[in-house]
Amino acid sequence: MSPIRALERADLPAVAALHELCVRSGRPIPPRGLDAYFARTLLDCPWADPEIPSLVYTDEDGSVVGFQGSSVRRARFEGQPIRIACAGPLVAHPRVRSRGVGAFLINAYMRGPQDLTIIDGGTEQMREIWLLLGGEMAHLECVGWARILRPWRFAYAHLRGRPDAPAPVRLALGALDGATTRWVGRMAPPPERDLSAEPLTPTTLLEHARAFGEHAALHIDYDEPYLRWLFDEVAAVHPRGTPVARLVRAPRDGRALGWYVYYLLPGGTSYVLALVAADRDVDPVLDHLLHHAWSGGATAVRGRIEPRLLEPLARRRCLMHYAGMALVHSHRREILDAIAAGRSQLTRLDGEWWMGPHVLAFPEGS
Amino acid sequence: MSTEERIARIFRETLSVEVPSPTTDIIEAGLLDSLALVTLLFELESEFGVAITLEHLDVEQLRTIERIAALVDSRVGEGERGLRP
Repeated sequence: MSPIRALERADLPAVAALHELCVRSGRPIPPRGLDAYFARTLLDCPWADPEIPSLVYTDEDGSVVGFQGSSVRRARFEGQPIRIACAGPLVAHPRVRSRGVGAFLINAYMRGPQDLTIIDGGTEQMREIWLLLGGEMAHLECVGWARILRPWRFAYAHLRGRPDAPAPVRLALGALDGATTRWVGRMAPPPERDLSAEPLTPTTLLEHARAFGEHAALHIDYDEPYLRWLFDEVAAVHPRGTPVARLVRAPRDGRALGWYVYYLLPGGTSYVLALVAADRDVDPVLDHLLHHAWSGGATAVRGRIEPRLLEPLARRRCLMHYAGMALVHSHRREILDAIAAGRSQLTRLDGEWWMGPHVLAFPEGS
Repeated sequence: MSTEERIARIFRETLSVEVPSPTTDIIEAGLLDSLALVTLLFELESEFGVAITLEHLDVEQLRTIERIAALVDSRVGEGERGLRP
């Protein structure tokens, strides 16, 4: 009998314990709430798919010693519905790592009935395994961008590995940032443009999603129950910051130009999950986001490269950098070709990158 | 060169692992993590022309070089029988 089977609700405490041991604190007892988080995100997501489940690897005595998370996204490719499997956390108990448990799990997951499997932010070792199992790298999606807004505070946080600083240091860095952004042209704050914006809700996103996604051969096929779940879960990952979702409109005719979702972290780096607009409107939507982050006190804004963003980002002197492995696998060559050609619209909001079992703070004890 | 010797060479040259003997327990010795496992299967396919997929594999079949050689030889035999008219 195969040691791999679908995750069941009764497995959640064991999965949480395994995750706590292997990914979080290194202790065997998970915090209260971690199993509930896995329940919400893996079993109770409106798009949870019993045909593409999370997987567990069990030992001879039936105990869970390995786990592969699964988040399924419904999408359209060339107008036809497809399913995307986002490979979430992959963990194996240290005592079974020499049995290749991780490889067995990821292989079983990749061979599911989905049309496309993705990982956004895999490790070097995962890349090697993935390629040997027939997967590919999505090269463009491995590139990140960064716009430094407050260079001195950003550098200080980067060097120290944490954003907080004693009050006198904070004051000094603030003064340096003020002078630098005033006198060094390329460091000037993002301009405030004559635009209007309103909160982006599941309803308004759904209303505009089709119009903004039509140009892409591959895009997520949102529905309202999923978007409500998504907005709730994005908001739940507090350590990343406060989620900001805006629909940007032209000032004169009120035409919707695009939308964005990002985590605003005052005093720290803010991460963009999605910035979606028609090609001609990327500039104003990007400017609105950058100015919003600047006004909110972010030291930098970072995101992942998408083809339509390249030129607007370059003109704003954003830095490009390696942002982690983006890996794809599909038995349908045409889907992989569309991704490689930049004809897909899959943002970080659409993968599992933002999900937070490894960063969430929970009350101590279980 | 025997199948066991060719497999030992894969361990030595590709996986950078010196396995003391054909009966050494590779799993117990902690020599076969996920990347090593997948790399081993890839190299076995290249070296012997047999596809050994994870779907139909019991990790016990990889516990020693002796067992891996038996697995490879059986797959090679299956392939040769399959070629007969």
